[in-house]
Amino acid sequence: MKISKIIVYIILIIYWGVFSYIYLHKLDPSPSILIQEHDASSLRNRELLTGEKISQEFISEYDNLGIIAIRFQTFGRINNDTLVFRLKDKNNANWYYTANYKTDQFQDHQFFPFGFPIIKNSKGNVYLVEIESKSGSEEGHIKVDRLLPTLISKHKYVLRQTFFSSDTFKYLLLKIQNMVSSMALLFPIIFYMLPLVQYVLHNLLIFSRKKVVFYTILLPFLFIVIYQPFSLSLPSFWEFTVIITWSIYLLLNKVTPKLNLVASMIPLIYIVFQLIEKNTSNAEMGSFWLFVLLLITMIHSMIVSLFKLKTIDIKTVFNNLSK
Amino acid sequence: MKTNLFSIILLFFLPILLIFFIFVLPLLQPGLIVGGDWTSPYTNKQLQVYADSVSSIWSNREIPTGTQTSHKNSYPFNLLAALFSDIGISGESFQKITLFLTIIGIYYFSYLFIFRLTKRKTASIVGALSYLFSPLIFNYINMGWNFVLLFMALSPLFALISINFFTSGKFKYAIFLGFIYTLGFAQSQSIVWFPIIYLFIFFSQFNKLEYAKQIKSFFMGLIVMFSAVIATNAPWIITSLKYMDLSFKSTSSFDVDRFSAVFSLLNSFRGWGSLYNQQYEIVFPSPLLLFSLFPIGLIIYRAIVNDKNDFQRYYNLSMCLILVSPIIYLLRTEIAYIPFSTIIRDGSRFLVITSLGLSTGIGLAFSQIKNKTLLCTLIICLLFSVYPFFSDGIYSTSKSDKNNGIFIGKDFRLRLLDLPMESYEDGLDIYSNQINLLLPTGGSTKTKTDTRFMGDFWEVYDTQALFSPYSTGIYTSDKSSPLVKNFVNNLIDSGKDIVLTKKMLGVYGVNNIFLRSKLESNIQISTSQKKIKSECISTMIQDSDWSITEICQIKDSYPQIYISVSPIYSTDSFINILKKQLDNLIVLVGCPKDLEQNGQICGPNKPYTLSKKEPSIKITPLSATKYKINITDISGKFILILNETFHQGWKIIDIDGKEQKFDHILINQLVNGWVINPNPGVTSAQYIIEFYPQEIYSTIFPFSATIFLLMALYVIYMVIRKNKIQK
Repeated sequence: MKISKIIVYIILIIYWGVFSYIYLHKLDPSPSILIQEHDASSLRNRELLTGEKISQEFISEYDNLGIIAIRFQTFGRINNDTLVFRLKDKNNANWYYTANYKTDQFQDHQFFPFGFPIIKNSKGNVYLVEIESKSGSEEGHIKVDRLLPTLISKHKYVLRQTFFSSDTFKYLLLKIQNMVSSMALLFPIIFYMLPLVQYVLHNLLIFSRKKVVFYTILLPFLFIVIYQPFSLSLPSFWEFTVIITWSIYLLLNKVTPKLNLVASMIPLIYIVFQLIEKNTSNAEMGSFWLFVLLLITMIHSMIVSLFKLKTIDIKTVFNNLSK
Repeated sequence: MKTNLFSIILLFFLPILLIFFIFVLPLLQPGLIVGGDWTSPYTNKQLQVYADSVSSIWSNREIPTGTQTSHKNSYPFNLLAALFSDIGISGESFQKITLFLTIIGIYYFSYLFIFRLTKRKTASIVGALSYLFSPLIFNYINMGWNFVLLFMALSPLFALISINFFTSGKFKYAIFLGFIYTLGFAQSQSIVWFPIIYLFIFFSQFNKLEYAKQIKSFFMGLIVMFSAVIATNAPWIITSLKYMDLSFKSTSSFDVDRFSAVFSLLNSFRGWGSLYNQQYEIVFPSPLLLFSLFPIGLIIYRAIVNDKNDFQRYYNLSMCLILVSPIIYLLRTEIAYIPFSTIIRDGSRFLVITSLGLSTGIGLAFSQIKNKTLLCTLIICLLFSVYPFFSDGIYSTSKSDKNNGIFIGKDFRLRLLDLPMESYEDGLDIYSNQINLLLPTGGSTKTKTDTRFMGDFWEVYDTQALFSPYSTGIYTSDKSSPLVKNFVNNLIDSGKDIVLTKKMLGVYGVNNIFLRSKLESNIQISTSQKKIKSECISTMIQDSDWSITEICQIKDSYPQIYISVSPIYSTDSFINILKKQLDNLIVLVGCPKDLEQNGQICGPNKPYTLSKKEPSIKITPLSATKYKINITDISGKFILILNETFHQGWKIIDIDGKEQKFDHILINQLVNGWVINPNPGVTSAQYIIEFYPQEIYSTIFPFSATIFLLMALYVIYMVIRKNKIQK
C-alpha cells in the first residue's frame, strides 16, 4: 500500500474519531454515564402553550437515574416561557422532584437536561415524567421535537474497583451495548465515518470493475437521505462531512469540476419546487447546497488548473454511469 | 444592410430609450431624491455648503458645538460640487446630473467589460442591460444611494482595466486602477470591493507559464492602488487615526444582525437585497417568482454545456463574483471581530459584486447561443426576471399619491422631495452670522401631512440641517460619541419646556431655534404650542412641511469663548443642574457616571482655588477652528471655556507657537475648558486656541488633492491618446 494512501486513511480515521468524540462529549461530558433512549411518540410534536401538560412513562433499565433530557424545538427564537418539570415513581402518589425552568435557555433541536437527586435503585421501576407550560404564548412557546431520540434518561455508573478490573470491562461492555442499541445515537457516529467509507469503497472497487466506482457515491448519500424519513438528527458539522465525502469522490475519480455544476442543478430544482410550495425555509436550505456546490466547483477548478490535473469530462462520466 | 441598421438600433437606441423612459423621464420632475440616511444638497447655496465642507474636518453636522468628521472619502465630489455651484447649478440638478451619468456609466462600462470577454455585441448589450436593470440598482435608486451606484458603474470598468493590466503588464493601467479605486472610495466599502474583483480577475487571467511575471504585476497593481487611495485620502486618514473617535473604531456587533435583515442565501442568488430596502422584492409579482432564479440557472446550465476553455475561465470568474456576497453573509459573525470591520460588514451591499457576476454570466451565456428563437425566448425570461422596473414599482413621484401604503411593510418607492426653500433662504440672511438649530431634528425626519413622507415611508435625511447655510441640525446614531449622546439625552429631557430648551441651547452658544412644526424626527421634543407662542415668533410661512414656522430667539446665549472663576461642581446630569440654576450663569465642572466611564476628563475631586476676580477677554477669530485671545486683569487661576465640543485636538498655544500644558477639562458636560494657571505677577496674556487636527489636515490636503487631480489628468490623457491611436 502506498504511503500516501496510509496517510489518507489515518487522516480520515482521525476525522471520524475526533468528530465522534466531540459528539459523544457534547451528548454527555461524563464517561461514566449510561444513556437510555425511550419511546416518546406521544410527546413528539406537542406544542407547549399555557397550561398544557405532557407526560410520559418509562421503565428504567439501569440504576442511578439522575437526568431526564428532552429534545425541544424553539423555532429559532428566544421563548419566554417557564416549564414545570415533575418526576415520580409511577406507584407513588407524590412527586419525587419538581422544578421550574426558563425556556429562554433552550436551544433548537437540542436536548435540555432536567437534573434531580440521583435515584439509586431505579432499575426496573416505572417512572412518570410530566412537563407543564406556565406561560407559553403563540409567539413565545416551545415544542417537543420530532427528531429521534426525543426522550432519554441518564444513569450514573459507579465503578466500584480501579481500572483494568472486571467491573471496568463490565462497564465498557454496557457502554458499547448502550451505544449500539440505539440507531439514533449511533447514526451521528456512523455519519462522521462517511468520508472514510467513500475512500474504502473506492479502493476496494477500483480493482474489480472500474465503472462501478462511479456509483460509490450513492452509498454515503443514501445514508444521508435516510435521516429525514427516520426523523434522525443530523449531527454538528454534517455539512462539512458531506463536503469532504463529495470532494474525495471528485478527486479519486478525477472527474471534471463541471460535475459539481451538474449536481448544483439538483438544489436549484429543489429551490424552484420549494418556491412553488411557498416554503422559503426549505428553499433557503437548497440555496445553501447550491452555494456549497458552486464553491466546490470554484475550488476544484482552481486545483485542476493550478496542478494541470487531467480530468474525465462530463460526457465520459455520464457514459460510464449509463453503461 | 438590414443587419447593420438593426445592430445600430439595438446598440444605441434601445439602451438610450430604456434609460430615458425608465430612469430619466420620471426624475425630470422637480424635487430631490430622498430616502434613508442619504441625500444631497437642494439649492445652489446648499451645494456651496457641501462644496465648502471639503476644507474643514470640524463640523456642526452632529451637534451645534461641532465634532470631528471622521472620514472625508468622498471629497472628489465636494470638488465637483464646487465646480457646479460656481456656475450656478442647484444641488438638485447636481444630484440628478451625477445620477444620470452614473446610470449611463453602469450600462456603458458593463457593456465594454462584457464585450472584452465575449467579443459579441448583442450578448454584451443583453449583459449590460441586465446589470443596469439589476434588483440592486432598483433598490439603491429608491434610497438615493448614489455612491453605491457609482461603484456599480466603476466596477466593470475596473474589471476591464484589470484584465488589460494582467495581460499587458503595463504600469499605466495600474495608475488607471488606482484612480478608479480612489474615485470609488467615495463609497467606503469599495476599499474591499475593488481588491476582491481584482483578485478574481487575477485568477481568471492566471497563466502558469508566466506566473512570476503575473504575480509581480499583481502585487505592483495592488501597491499602486493602495498608495493612490492612501495618498489622496491621507489628510483625513492621518487625523482620524491620530484622534480616533468612537464611530471610527467601533465594530458594533449590532450591525451584523440589522444589516442582514433582508438578506438570505436564496436572495443573494437572485441578486436581491440591499440593506433595509426590499422594495424590489415587495413589488415582484408572485406568479413570476420563479423567473427570479432564471439568471443563475441559465449561467450554470451554459457553464455545463460550454466547451471553450477561455469561456470556462470567464464562467468561473462570473461564479466567483456571484459567490462573494453569500460568503460574506455566512461569515458575517466572524467578520464582525475584525478591527474596523464596521466599514465592510454589511453583507447585503456585497451584492454589488454578485450583480456584476450575474450580468457577466448572462453576457457569456448569450454570446454562445446562436438560435434566434431561443435567444428571444431567453430575453423574454430575463424581462420577467426584472419585471418591477417595468411596473410602477420604482417611483412614487405624484404629490397626491393614492397608492401610498398598499405594500406590506415600509413603502420604499422613490419620491422626489420638493423643498420651496429658495424663497425664504434669503429671508434667513439676517441670521447668517449666528448659530441656529433646526428642530425637530436628529438625522432623519418624517412629515405630518405630506402622505408621501409619512410614517410608512423610509425616513428622509434632513437635507436642511445638513446643508443649510444658516442652520445646523443634530445627527445621532448608535455610533455617536458619549458626549453627543449625553447632549441629545439632555435635549430630549428639556423637550417639554421650551424655556428650558432655550436655556440649555443658549449655554452651548445657540442663538436661535428654527422650528418646523409639520415635521417629526427621531429626537422628539413635544413642546406645548402655548409656550411656543409666547417664546417664539411665527414666520407665517406654511407652504411646505419643511417650512420654518417659528423662530425662537435665545437672548444672552453664551459666547464662543469666555472665562469663569465661579464654576459649579457636580456629577448630577446637566439638565437637572440647569433646572435649578435657570437664571444663573452655568459653568459646570464634573460628569455623570456615563461620561466618566468613557474616559472623559471630568475635573478634580475637590474644587479648584480660583481667582476671585474674573479677568477680561478679547477674542479675534482667525478661522473657524483658530482663535486669538487677549486676556487682561489676571489676578490668579481661572477657567477658560471654548464653547466647542470637548476634543483632545483643541490646544492652547502661546503667541510663539509653544503648546501650553494647562489642565484640559470638560465643561458643562460637553465643551472644552482649560484651567489657566498664570505665572505669579502676570496680569495679561495672549494665547491662540486651535483645533490641531485641522492644521494637519489643511497642510496635507493640497498635496493630496493635487495627486488626485494629476491622476485624473493622466487618465484623461490616456483615454484621449488611446482613442486617437484607434482612429
